[in-house]
Amino acid sequence: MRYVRRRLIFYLIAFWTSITLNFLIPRLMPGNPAENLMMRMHGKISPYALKALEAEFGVFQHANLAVQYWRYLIALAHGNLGVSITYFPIRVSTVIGQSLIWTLGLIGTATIISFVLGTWLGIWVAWHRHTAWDRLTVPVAMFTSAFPYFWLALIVLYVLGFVLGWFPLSGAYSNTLPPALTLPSIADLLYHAALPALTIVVVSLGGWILSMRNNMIPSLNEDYIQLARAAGLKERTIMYQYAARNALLPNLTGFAMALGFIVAGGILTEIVFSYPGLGFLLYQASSNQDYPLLQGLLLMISFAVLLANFAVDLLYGRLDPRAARSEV
Amino acid sequence: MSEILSVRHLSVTYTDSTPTIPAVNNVSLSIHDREIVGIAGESGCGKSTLINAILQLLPDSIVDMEGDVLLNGQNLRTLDRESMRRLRWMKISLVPQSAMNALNPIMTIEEQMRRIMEAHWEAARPGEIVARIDETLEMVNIQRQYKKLYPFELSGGMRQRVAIALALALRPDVVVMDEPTTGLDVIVQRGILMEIKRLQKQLGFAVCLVSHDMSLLIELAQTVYVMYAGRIIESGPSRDIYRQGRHPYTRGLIACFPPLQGSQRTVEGIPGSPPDLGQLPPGCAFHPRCPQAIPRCTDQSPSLVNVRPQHAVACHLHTPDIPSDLVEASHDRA
Amino acid sequence: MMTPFTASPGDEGEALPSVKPRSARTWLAFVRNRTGLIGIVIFVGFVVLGLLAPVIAPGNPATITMHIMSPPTAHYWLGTTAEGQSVWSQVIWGTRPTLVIGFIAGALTTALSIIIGVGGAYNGGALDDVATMFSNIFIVIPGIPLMIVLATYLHHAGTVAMILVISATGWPFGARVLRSQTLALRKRDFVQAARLTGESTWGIVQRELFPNMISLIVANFLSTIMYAIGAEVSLQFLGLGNINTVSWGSMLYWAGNYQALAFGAWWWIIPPGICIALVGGALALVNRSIDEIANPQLTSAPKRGRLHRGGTGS
Ligand SMILES: Nc1ncnc2c1ncn2[C@@H]1O[C@H](COP(=O)(O)OP(=O)(O)OP(=O)(O)O)[C@@H](O)[C@H]1O
Ligand SMILES: [Mg+2]
Repeated sequence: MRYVRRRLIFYLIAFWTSITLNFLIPRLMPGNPAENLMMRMHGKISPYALKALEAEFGVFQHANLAVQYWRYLIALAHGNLGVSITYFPIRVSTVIGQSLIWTLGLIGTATIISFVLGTWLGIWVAWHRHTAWDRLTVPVAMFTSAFPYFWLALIVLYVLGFVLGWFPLSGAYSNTLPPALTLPSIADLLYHAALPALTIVVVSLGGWILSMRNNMIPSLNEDYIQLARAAGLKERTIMYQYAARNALLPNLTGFAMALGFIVAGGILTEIVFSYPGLGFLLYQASSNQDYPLLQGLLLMISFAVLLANFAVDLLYGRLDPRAARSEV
Repeated sequence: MSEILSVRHLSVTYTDSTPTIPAVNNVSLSIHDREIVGIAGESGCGKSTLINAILQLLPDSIVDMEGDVLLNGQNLRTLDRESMRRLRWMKISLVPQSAMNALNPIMTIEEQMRRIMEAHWEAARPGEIVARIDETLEMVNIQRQYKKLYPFELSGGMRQRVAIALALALRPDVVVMDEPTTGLDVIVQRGILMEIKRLQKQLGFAVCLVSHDMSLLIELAQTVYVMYAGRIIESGPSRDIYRQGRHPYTRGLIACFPPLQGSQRTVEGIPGSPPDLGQLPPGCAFHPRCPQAIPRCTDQSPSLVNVRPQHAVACHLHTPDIPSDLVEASHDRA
Repeated sequence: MMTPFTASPGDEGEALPSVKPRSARTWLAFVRNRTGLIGIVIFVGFVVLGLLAPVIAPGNPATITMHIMSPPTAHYWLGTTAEGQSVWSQVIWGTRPTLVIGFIAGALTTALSIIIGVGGAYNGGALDDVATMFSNIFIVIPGIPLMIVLATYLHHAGTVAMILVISATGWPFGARVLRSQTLALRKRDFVQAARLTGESTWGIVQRELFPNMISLIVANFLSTIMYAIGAEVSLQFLGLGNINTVSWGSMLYWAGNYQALAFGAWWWIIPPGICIALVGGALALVNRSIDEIANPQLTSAPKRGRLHRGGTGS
């Protein structure tokens, strides 16, 4: 399929760009951060590991940039992201691998909940546009989506966790109950994920509501909606199958932009809740100036976001016959 | 011939704008079994509003409505929502203005037809629906395999035919067509209109055809209503209107469009442009543009009076000199 | 993080409906639109607050006192921090760097968006292809993690570095919207006519394009300010900004550092957050009113709009 192929090529280029960016950043930064890092680590880690770090950042190497770039790509192709300094001598890929699942679980689920719920609410308020619900929803949605994620996280943590004591204050599971596929353990996981997920959903929800509403309202004015009414279709059919299905398409196109912001917000939320995902790891790597880990995380997060976008594009292709069948 | 659709003293005012817009003013008309009735008028004179009001498509939140709409003797204005919904398309259907854009862009032709039919034929078997879809599409000369296509894959003319097929799918008694061929080139327009005429004969439904093309209406319709600024200003059998149209506006309209067949006449437009419905001039709304206006026209609004048994005109030039409020238009035909 | 949904995430090639006559009527409509007015009043209110900081809260907001972690009192309206600083005074003074960085970064980002979006679309050809490619790519590469990495390398980004980092990651959103608007305008008659009469490129851009894009540019500028403030506050909260200036972000950083909530010092956390949300919300309101003026249907007032909504008229 032409559409799928084109999107795939686009995301491959985007991924390649982020890989290259990842390669260039440490080499372009002022004050040669990598060399400083080497100095700091000298004597603390084995000469062998030091060599590995050198290779990774191209410090003290006299190979030109092109050769370094090639080596970097080769290493990457082998899944070699270097060695973490914070968790020395564990490999960056291993460290990331342990956190990835938490982020996917938390931010992924929260994003889907928020998208589905927000889209549905957007449809609903657009349909009931002349009611007080609509007049109430719009400003509230605008206000809540202006909250900084981490701030709302702090408030939620304080009120629901600290003052009321209804939820745990940090982490992803109880120390006494290591994650497993048992009912009590799953309940415990959900219990820990509730507050961070709530934060992400509350802040990101408003955006979905507003954008769906804004797409839905012009769509209600379309000739085919008027015809569907004249034809005596049931209101629910008109609302969902005619108006919303059409209005959803531009909303999916906006997904790419929104996702970046939600992931960013999720990262900050994880930090506040010490939730052991990529965001919290990124924070640790940043505080410890663990450059290899930092870079690996940036690459991983970019990759995950690109993959999610690609999935959404595929969905779009399925929902819009014009994308799938025409040359667009 | 029995009367199927009867509109009585219908007035519609848009309340969603300031000033409010009286888009339809005291309009009465009737459509009989197997009849084609034409409604003519320039853009903005309230034709679509009238149609939408007849079909009960204008929500209370944006209009104030008065008068009655009777379909087979049943008053649509007092019907509850669900009964009205059930009656739609089974009894009265619509080919909307810009029918080309009236198809849902992300559904196949078949799915759109199927959804409409399912909404009314609750007990139908899938086979029946498919058979009816194929049959109806073939009636409008669309090959069966095209039903799997999306609207954007069809030409304008084909989309138009699909819109007509949609309207005919449940074989309604009345089909309302709001300028069903705008946006198509003349040859395609003509082909489609001839087809409508053929289908009308074949299936025997009544048509309410809206157009600003007077000559076309005269050719197709048995009865023509001429609208100006929200009012009917002349009505009668199309032959009478064509030969002996009384109102200066009607004659202007006829002159505007040379008939499709017969002698070519010079096109003389009506000077000026239609009034703003929000700010109608006093008296006869047409007087500022009327070449024959007399003093009375500027302050008295003419009523619709019969000049012959089925031919009514609202024009001071053709009404006896009596106070207009005593004259009650009576063009209810036997 | 703020979500600039209100910046109308236009998809590609979409002709935006906001091409408006360049008349004073637009501005009149703007004042009449209540949404916009409320937004402007709130936003201007904060600007005034920042400007008048020395009058409203005289003295150095960083001054350390003995009254640590005091809840709101008659003297300390919003209580004090763990170092005994007045939260009220910090919030007022914190307006300044927050808004200044937001403004400058917003302006710089918008300028980049205009150059890349309008420039690319106007010139067309390979230049446009490359520009479009880059904006599309940078939209899908998440900005905040990138910022965190960059700021870490820079060892606490100062004001200038912060502005540069924000602008470097924020331009593609605006570029994309402005590009599609330029494409739509370029096809318009009056632009074509100006080209035929041999007006210079810059002349056309200045006289024909910009006046028609001004509302879009303003909307974009406002959402970029939201984005910039959000990014700035986040970086500062993580301790990656200059933590020694008093700003809303650094207040939250110190509050976090001193575990303000664990001590129940809600008064330290809530005010800066509310201020951020108010500024962001105000900008969103203004943006929304710009949307609404261009597209009156979106207004959520009863009995408005030209929609044929609802069922039967009975
Ligand atoms: N929702 C609405 N609110 C207010 N005024 C309206 C609304 N819809 C239509 N109008 C006004 O009502 C008048 C009649 O419109 P209508 O669409 O019925 O005209 P028309 O005869 O069908 O014209 P055309 O030939 O262009 O389709 C116009 O002046 C129009 O501006
Ligand atoms: Mg019309």
